[in-house]
Amino acid sequence: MALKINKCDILIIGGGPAGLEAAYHAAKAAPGLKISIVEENFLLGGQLIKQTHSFFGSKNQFAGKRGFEIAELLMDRVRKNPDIDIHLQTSALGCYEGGIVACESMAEGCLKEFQPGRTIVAAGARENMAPFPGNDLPGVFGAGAAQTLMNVYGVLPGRKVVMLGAGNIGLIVSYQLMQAGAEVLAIIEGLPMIGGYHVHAAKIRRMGVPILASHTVVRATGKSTLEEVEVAPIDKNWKIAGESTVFQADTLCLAVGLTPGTELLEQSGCRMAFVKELGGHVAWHNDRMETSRPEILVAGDVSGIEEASTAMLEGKIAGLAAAEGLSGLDLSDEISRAQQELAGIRKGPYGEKACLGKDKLCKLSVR
Amino acid sequence: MRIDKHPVLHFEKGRKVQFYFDGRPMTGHEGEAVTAALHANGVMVLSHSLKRRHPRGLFCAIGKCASCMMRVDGQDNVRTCILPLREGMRIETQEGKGRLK
Amino acid sequence: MNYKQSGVLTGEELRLPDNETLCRGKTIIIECVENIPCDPCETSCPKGAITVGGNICNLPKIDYTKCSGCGLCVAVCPGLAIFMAEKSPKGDWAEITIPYELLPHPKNGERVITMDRSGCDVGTGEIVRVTEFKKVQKSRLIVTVRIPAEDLNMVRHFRIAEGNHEQ
Ligand SMILES: Cc1cc2nc3c(=O)[nH]c(=O)nc-3n(C[C@H](O)[C@H](O)[C@H](O)COP(=O)(O)OP(=O)(O)OC[C@H]3O[C@@H](n4cnc5c(N)ncnc54)[C@H](O)[C@@H]3O)c2cc1C
Ligand code: SF4
Ligand code: SF4
Repeated sequence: MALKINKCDILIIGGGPAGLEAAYHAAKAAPGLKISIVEENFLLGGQLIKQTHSFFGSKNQFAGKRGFEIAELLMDRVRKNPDIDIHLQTSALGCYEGGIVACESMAEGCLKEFQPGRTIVAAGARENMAPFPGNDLPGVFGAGAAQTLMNVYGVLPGRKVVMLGAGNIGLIVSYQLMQAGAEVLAIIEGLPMIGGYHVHAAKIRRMGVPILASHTVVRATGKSTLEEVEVAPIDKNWKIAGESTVFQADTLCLAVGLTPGTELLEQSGCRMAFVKELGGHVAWHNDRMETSRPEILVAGDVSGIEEASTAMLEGKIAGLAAAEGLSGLDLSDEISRAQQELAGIRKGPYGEKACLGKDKLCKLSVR
Repeated sequence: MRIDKHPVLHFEKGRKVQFYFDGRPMTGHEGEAVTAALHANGVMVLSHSLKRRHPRGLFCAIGKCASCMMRVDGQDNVRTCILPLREGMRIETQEGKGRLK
Repeated sequence: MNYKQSGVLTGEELRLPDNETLCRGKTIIIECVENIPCDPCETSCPKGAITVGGNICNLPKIDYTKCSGCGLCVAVCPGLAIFMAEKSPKGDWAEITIPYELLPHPKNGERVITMDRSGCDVGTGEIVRVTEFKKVQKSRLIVTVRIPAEDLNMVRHFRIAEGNHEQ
């Protein structure tokens, strides 16, 4: 395979909201720095391009706009900046000594080597699996995958759907499935409580979709694709506590959480820590999003599972911190404003978990 | 199933192109993910598990799991969920772990 | 069962406006009871009638004396949690205004089946107004349904009866 050497000051791995904002703000704060984004997919925008609901937050975080509209805005301002170049269909494979990052370009069929001054890992997260027999049948999707099919490509994943998980993703994707013309038979939640925002639950409940709390999927069956989903009530210890119900469904969506995609960080020797509140293993980082390796920063879901608005702000902070380190400019005011904004949106009860997680991380020592 | 009307979205699709799945001609839209085109043609089984040969379908759609790995124009282990469809593409279900080319 | 188990608000959490307020004219009802980080209802109201306050996670509060009943907040709220209600002083009819993002689109004069917060049918109603605030929110309709006065506190959704709608 041919090898191409690419020069840049800041390399950003992942073109989701965190990566896009990192690029935009770094370029804006320190004009002249050369910034490259590598993105594995052939589309930019990460998970944001499939979100059709309007976002919460305030004006600064584009509240009221639909996710895909925000994605367009972020992509547009990055594309317009001549200091930022974008490599689509390019996977980062590893970070090596001397800050070298090796990437595979699937579009050009070659290896690309970058030697940036700073690398910002904004690789996002992946969806969790749930353990039950039949969870590998075609027709069992990650909820985000179903969302990609229907909202990015206009292809309905199926007609009759069972959703596992009543967190925000489960609730939102259920609503979007109904909007796209599918029927959601039930939302199943193992915990006794709905985890997502009440306003999301209310939207889907008033359309007549039941939410079965303290229930789980016992098995999924079907010949070569999904035909039936068996659901049963469970007790506090997740033991079956009653008779099961069988739903005739061609689609089962799993919305049971995300895990940060930290492979690159681990491989590059960043100090890792297991923090339950952040979704699993994450790279240690401070409030400037700097990891234990001075040339590597993180932002977005890869640094702890949260949401797009926090991913954007973390991206901004990481971008500014990287730009500051390379340009010698003093960007501390801008960084602290972004940190305050971030603290603001984490204030409510739904931000508690992230705060707790990030606090735990800060208390650990760097080494 | 393609969604023809949506209350929020308007789908801008590429031109219609022909491709082949295990030799069968199918149509899809240029530039959409190969898995989306397959799904729209009713193809749900993309691969089989190595040991027990369970059928496998699309799971993550963002290139993070291995269930959509297929042979594309003779090359094995291509993640078809992050591969844009092109005219004349030959998509095949892959047997076993595939070969390195 | 509380709303965190069922997804359905009950009287206690709701603090619905009293009869007098409802009969005075268009009355905003905010069914947003958790401290989520969100404030477009406050920032978009042209009359300054909704306050969230300095902390973006505060609950929104409505001041009925300032509200003009323009309905903008119904269109803006990303949680689809704001409704507008009105009751005739004689109590012979009521109207509920609902944000709506589904197909097919309802039309003026159409009869619909009304539904409550848990999706159960309540009765029937007639669509009397379908508006859109295109500038603030594309593809969200603001639909006013005329219903019997006694259904006002229950109806929060509707569906178009099958076969009722020609495309
Ligand atoms: C189904 C679903 C619903 C959601 N709903 C909401 C919501 O309503 N509101 C909200 O605020 N948030 C929501 N979120 C969360 C929000 O979308 C994410 O928190 C946000 O997208 C995270 O941004 P990110 O940039 O960190 O990661 P992502 O958006 O995941 O982007 C990461 C990008 O990195 C790329 N990448 C990964 N690895 C590599 C590599 N090795 N090389 C190159 N590129 C790589 C990926 O292809 C991807 O494009 C939802 C998420 C999901 C999955
Ligand atoms: S109806 Fe208009 S004036 Fe009244 S609170 Fe809503 S936006 Fe403000
Ligand atoms: S805009 Fe809607 S969801 Fe947001 S705070 Fe106001 S009422 Fe609540």
